[in-house]
Amino acid sequence: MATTTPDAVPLSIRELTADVGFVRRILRGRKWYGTEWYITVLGGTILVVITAATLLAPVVAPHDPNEFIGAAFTPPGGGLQTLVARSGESPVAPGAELSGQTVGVQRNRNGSNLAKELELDSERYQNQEALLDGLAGGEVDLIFLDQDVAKELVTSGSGFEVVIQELGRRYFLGTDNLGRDITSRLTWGARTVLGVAISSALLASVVGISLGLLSGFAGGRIDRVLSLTMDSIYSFPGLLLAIIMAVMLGPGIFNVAVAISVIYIPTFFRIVRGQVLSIKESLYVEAARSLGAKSRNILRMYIFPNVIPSVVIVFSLNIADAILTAAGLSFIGLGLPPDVPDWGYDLSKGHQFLVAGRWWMITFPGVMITLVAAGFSLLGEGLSEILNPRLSEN
Amino acid sequence: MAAPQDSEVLISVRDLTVTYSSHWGPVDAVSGVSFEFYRGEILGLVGESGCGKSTLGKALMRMLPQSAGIEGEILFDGEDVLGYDDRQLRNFRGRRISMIFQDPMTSLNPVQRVGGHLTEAIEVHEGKRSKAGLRERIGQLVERLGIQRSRLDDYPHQLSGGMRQRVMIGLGLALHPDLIIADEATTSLDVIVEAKLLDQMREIRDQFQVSILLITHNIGLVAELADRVAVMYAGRMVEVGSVYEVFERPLHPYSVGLLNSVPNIELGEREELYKMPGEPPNLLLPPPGCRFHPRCPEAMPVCSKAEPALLPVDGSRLVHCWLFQDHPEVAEA
Repeated sequence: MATTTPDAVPLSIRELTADVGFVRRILRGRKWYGTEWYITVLGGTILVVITAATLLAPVVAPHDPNEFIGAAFTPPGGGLQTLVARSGESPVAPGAELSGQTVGVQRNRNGSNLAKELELDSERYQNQEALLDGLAGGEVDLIFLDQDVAKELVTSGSGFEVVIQELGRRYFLGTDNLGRDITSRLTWGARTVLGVAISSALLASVVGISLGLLSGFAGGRIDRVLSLTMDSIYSFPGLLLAIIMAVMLGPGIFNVAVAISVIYIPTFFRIVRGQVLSIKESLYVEAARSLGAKSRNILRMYIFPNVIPSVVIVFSLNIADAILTAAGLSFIGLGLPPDVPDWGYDLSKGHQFLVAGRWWMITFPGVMITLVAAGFSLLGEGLSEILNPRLSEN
Repeated sequence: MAAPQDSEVLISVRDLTVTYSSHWGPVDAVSGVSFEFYRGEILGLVGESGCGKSTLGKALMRMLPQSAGIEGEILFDGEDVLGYDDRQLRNFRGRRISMIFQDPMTSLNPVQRVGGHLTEAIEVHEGKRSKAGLRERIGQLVERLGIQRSRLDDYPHQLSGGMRQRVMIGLGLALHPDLIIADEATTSLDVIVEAKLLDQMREIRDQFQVSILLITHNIGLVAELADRVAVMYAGRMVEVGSVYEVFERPLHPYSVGLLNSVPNIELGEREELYKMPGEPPNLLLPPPGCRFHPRCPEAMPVCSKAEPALLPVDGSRLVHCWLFQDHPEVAEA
């Protein structure tokens, strides 16, 4: 084999190995690791952003996730109120005090909350028609209307005029059927989801991998007993098993994680055991034995690292699956305590209102679950490509 | 070249029988093999596929599967290898005896760096070492084998087949063992790399005084490298002698046939390669008497009735054939 002189190394490679800064190194990562690099970075970014957002939830989230802050079913971006009076009778100059005036509000609309918050004397009407009649009939001096309704009303020349625009809050992703802010629920809910999903996947992988290694490596009776046990767990319907476990353990984030992890232990076990069985017979393990390596070291340095790439992928898929299982548990009320915001719960609640046109209740939690699951999959897949020295070349 | 017969005996094997159990009954992959192996010699072990060469090599290291039964006696430097417990065995492997495998592509751990393999091999036997000292030692070792020091940080897949095989040899040498078993070590390499490697192995032998057991199909390799050659057939050792003697004038009819079957670039005068008639026997039901007699061009009545012994002919050479020994009374009857 000819020795390579430094001159023979192409310029691009010398550039690559040049000592450059951290950021530039990340940008150049693709040259080392191929396209997987971007996939990994993308997946990592998604997860970092979501994790950071949920850790900063007290700062980032606009509202308390459990507070009935707005009206039910405020669509995304909605919630702002307009103060409307009869034309020519606007009783307040912009910026003046509203006290002493009676404000008409509509039931189950953001205006009623706003009036309460501003401590105004308010009159409540059952629907929009009654509200407008009340204003026209002089029962109240002012009314709160949703911004888009007000805009339509004023432009159609109905004898009303706008006093103040853009009062109150805007709900970026809308509110749910109880008037809770979806943005806040998603931000806080990420904690639950990441907590449950990651801890259940970690638990399942630690137990599954250890048992798989033991079973594959030791063989014999241990292997038979463990395989039989795992197969019987595997043959059980997953959600049913999780339900039984959840009933036994009771509510709580950690208990849900344990209940879910039980379903996934056999998946890890089977994959690891199969890999161990084939790696155990490989020539490099035999070579290690011929050099007098201890069984423990063979397991640790030869078998375990070679099992990891296939486990990483199962791990990321498992996390995605665990989120959905957790949602399923929440759906039948066995998951988390009701005051814990949870995407899965929101998702299962929201689907009832989809037919009524409230698409935002189910869409945003769904998108978030997909994003997190995709984030883990991309990260897992990309990492396994990069970390596995066999795949990194050719 | 040292005259091996004058040297000290490193391994002495007596009546070694290795039995694999199969669905149809026990199979003797190696039966009743006895030989001596001297310090610093290169012994070539040749024979057809399935004749028990690799099994014999593994038996010397006790690397056989647990289901295999070993009988007989293996004395390594006077110690009984078959009596070792697990700890002694681990200590024995690598430090006293090491093995280079057939396929360099798969005999290195794909997720461990080259340097890591060597470091591990040394630390297993000698305990934790200072990093710098260890690095220096393995650096010297691989440079000795013609691999740049900088390659120590590479993963096996970044090396060529020849380099990997040299790393394997480095692993075998790292602890200065007394014996290296090279099981088809050069089979998957091209002839040029192979020739280089052979030179290196000879140098290593001369420098470190290790013995090398060369298990191979390649008769040319044995002729080139080995001091003595052992020919195996159907689990028996049929002829053992110095390379010059055996290749110049093979005595056992199987050795004769085997050597005639070797392709030669100057085939002209023989027109066609010699094809040995018949097939190697089924070891579940070996033929009675000499196991080679159904294929032997010189078979005699006695051959199917009794088994010859591995006895010396012309001094140092051992041959397992009735042609060269007195027929016993029973067989004549």
